[in-house]
Amino acid sequence: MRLMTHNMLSCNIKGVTNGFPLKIEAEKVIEKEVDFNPDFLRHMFAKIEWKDLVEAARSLGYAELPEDSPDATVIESAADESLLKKLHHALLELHLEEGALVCPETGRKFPVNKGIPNMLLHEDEA
Amino acid sequence: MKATLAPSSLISLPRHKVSSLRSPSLLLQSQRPSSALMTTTTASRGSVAVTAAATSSVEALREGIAEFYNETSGLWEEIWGDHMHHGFYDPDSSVQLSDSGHREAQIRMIEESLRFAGVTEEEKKIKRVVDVGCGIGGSSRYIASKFGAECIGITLSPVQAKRANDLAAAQSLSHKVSFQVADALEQPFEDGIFDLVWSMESGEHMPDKAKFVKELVRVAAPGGRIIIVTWCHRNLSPGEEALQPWEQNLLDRICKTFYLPAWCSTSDYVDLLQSLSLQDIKCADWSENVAPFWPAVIRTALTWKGLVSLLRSGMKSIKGALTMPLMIEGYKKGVIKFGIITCQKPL
Repeated sequence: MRLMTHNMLSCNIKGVTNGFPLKIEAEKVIEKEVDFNPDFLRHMFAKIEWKDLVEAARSLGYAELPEDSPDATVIESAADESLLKKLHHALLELHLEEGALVCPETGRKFPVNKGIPNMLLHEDEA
Repeated sequence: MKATLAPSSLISLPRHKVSSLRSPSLLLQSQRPSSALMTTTTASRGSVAVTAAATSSVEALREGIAEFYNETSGLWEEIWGDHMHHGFYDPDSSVQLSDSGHREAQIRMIEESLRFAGVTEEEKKIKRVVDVGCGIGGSSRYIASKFGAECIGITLSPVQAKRANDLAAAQSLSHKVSFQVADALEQPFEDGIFDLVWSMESGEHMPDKAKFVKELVRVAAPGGRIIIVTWCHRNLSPGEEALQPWEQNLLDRICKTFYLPAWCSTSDYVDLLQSLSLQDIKCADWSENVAPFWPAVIRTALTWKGLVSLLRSGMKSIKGALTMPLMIEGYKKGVIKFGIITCQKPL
């Protein structure tokens, strides 16, 4: 599971109002190289929850992202790609292979096996 | 392609009680819920209230669907490629067995669906897409490539999710698409995050159509489009309460092998979307455009390669194959319809 995906997943157990973002318990993290595509990153930037991404990246052992969200103009400008490369690495190249996603409100753990999160709810949670 | 129903003519569609789709005690919206649902286990709590038993049945259905696709997905992919949906054909065309015609038709189905929904004109606005009931991700990969968008797919089958991710990696699309195991009736997403909500031939598996549609609408962004392409039964005529017994019987037999809950009609979907105040609701009957599909699948299954693969794949696949003539019968007799329903969420 990449952090781009994690940035969208939330816990939908009945009654939970604060199911996002899911905390990460990392047991196995791998890095997979992905071609750098700055246009795609710029296209997606507006949709990313920055602070959540920073924290999630830290859970996976990557602390290079700045705390505060960069200005959109910084991302748009062609000049400095170093920030974009860090974003690229955090968002697309770090993979949680084994571990769990934890609901911030209930503590319920959603397992991640072979890189695939299982978000199915139990009968009594729906 | 059959004519689109213009908005004004939607009012004249035969309507039956929408409330039956939303009442918990009629969870399956069927005259005979037990026959329409494949239950492999009895409710574990002895004598229970209707809703509790229905919930256990839903669990059983969910497991059944997951197992069915865990077991049959590989066979499907081997014979028909990575798109697990009907091809779109010009009416009365004949489909070649071994050429790539069926793949082209499957891609045409995606393109025609997008066009019908009016999506193609809005390419730049599509940033995030959800593929509800994604199979092994054929639609997701195609749409993500087409729009340069991020696509996330959900399926009940861990085998399919893994295969979908592997195929994405092989096609260098891992940065754009990802797949997880999740329930379309409880989508693990915040409200309003998807510019396009895509459900290609998965609606027929949903036991609670109202809940299914509500979830599609919930995760759609304001201004986002929802596209549902699904197997339905024919619209009921005014005053008609239910399908004829022989029609219901035909569907029941199909339900058992394909792990389908009760069917609904295209106009049921339209009613649901109208009740949720969606706008620009359109629907069409594409039954004629998919008619060549099942005979072509059967012909493929009857080749040596097809038979060997089928036998290796297990009982669920074999039963599925034996049920295919029922699909043809259903289409021929006008009981089964291939419907598309699209709409836009208000800003």
